[in-house]
Amino acid sequence: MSTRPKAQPLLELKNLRRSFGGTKAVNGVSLTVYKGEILGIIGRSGAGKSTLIRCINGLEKPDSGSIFYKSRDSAGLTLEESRQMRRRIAMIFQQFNLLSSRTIIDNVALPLKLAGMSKIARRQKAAELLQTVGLGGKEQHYPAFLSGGQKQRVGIARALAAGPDILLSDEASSALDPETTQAILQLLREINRKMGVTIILITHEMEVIRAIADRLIVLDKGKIVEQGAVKDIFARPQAAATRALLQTIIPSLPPALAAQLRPQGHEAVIEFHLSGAAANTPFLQDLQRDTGAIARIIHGGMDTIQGERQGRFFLALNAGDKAKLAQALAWLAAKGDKSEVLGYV
Amino acid sequence: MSDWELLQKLLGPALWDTIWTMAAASFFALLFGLPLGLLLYATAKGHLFENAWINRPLSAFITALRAVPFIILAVSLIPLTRLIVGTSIGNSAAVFVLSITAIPFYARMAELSFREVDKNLIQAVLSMGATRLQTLREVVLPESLPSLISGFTVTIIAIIAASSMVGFIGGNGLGRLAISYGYQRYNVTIMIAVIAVLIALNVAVQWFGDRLAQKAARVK
Repeated sequence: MSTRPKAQPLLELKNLRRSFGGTKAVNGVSLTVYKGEILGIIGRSGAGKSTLIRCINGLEKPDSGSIFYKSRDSAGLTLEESRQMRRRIAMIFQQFNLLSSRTIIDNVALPLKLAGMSKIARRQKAAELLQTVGLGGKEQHYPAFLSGGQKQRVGIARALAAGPDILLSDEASSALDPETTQAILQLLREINRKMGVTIILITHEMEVIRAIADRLIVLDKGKIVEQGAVKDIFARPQAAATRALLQTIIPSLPPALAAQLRPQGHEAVIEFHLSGAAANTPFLQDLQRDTGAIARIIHGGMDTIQGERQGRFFLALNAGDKAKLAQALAWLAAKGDKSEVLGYV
Repeated sequence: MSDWELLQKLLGPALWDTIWTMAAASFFALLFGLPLGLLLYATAKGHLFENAWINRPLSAFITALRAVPFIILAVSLIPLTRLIVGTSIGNSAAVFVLSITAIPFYARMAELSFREVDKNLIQAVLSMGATRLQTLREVVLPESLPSLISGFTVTIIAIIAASSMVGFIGGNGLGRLAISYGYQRYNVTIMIAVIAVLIALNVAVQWFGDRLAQKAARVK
């Protein structure tokens, strides 16, 4: 990936296009997935995520553009070779897609059965995988008896059965409650770290990206509008689509306070973002020491993204002394990523 | 001979004939209807083996067969029945005409069952690198099993109903008994007895079918 130049490309999409009728679902997408990373692909519904996935796993033929898997153009593959490739790219789904007519262990063993492995060998492998995902002892149950989180664990075990290089997660946690979502995401992270499986997370939730992704690609109207390390995008989102998606997990000024903002007043309300080394300093004390200005926190807080501390605050500063306020604003602007006067109260 | 003695003498063999024809016709309905239903499903638009050249004529033929009311079909089939079975009366002839009507009936029922299988599930298994035949065998058939069983139960019950009508054209069984004694000779006792046995038979088939379908559904 961009911050790790040594990483080797596993999957490359080049100028991929796919339309349905007049709608350009995927409109010229080029991206590279590097071995061992967790790549998040985020977008609102209709951004082209589903079509992109279906192109990657071979269920949809792109109108133009190419897909290189391990530097081989997938367009030149025979039917059998493209089936082999699909086995290297396993998927987990929002609705789990388990077979209700089969026991848990036979669900997990299905990809191995399709590949022609013997019953004893595939059951043994499936049992091991069920242990890995924390479902040992449930082998003979049917899916109807499991909770959503357990079903997704079965889905993950099944995806791992064929020993894939890439795990493609299609909104895999979107149907789960927050606690279960976190548990499933941590399991994916563990699989990524311990088994070295590259993961592509397709989602509309920034929460999911924040939890485990290394790198992020933002899709909007069939195009990539932003990409980079998750912590960089979270600290300094550029595209409007990215900011809109971040809205749900980033503190914003409570509406009651926002309604009170005026062009003039005795206190200035400032939105202040900081990250990296600056986020580990007692910045309110430092501000007072350097400029004499006393800032009050109205709203906001600190967060940790990929191990980096990031803060988003709404501060109120005395606006009585214009010179002092200007000095304080200059100090904040130099210290943080963003420092903007929203209004006065 | 009193009604009771008559009943004792006639009911047993009539019930046996009905069960025999029902079982044989059901067997043929399954044997030919299930593959036809699978063919109808798989060759339909948007499905695994989409093929209009097979699907359209087959679908039209099945609809045509289903369009003819049973008793008219049975009468019009008499020459064909003679040709194939050798006679147009008796149990074997009844099994033949019942099968001809039950096969397209069950083919449609089975097609509906297959269509209930979640398309996402099929896509998921294809994305695992399954061939289309593997997908039919490993997903479509097992996943639709509970519904196939329910559809088959309905088919058997339709066959029982139709088998009574075969009594008009020389078939044996409960239908013939009701027609010749209950209807033509105004024997109320026998009529009521036949109705009671038919109800019991239907209830038993339905109960057994429901239980089997529930077991196959793997939710309890």
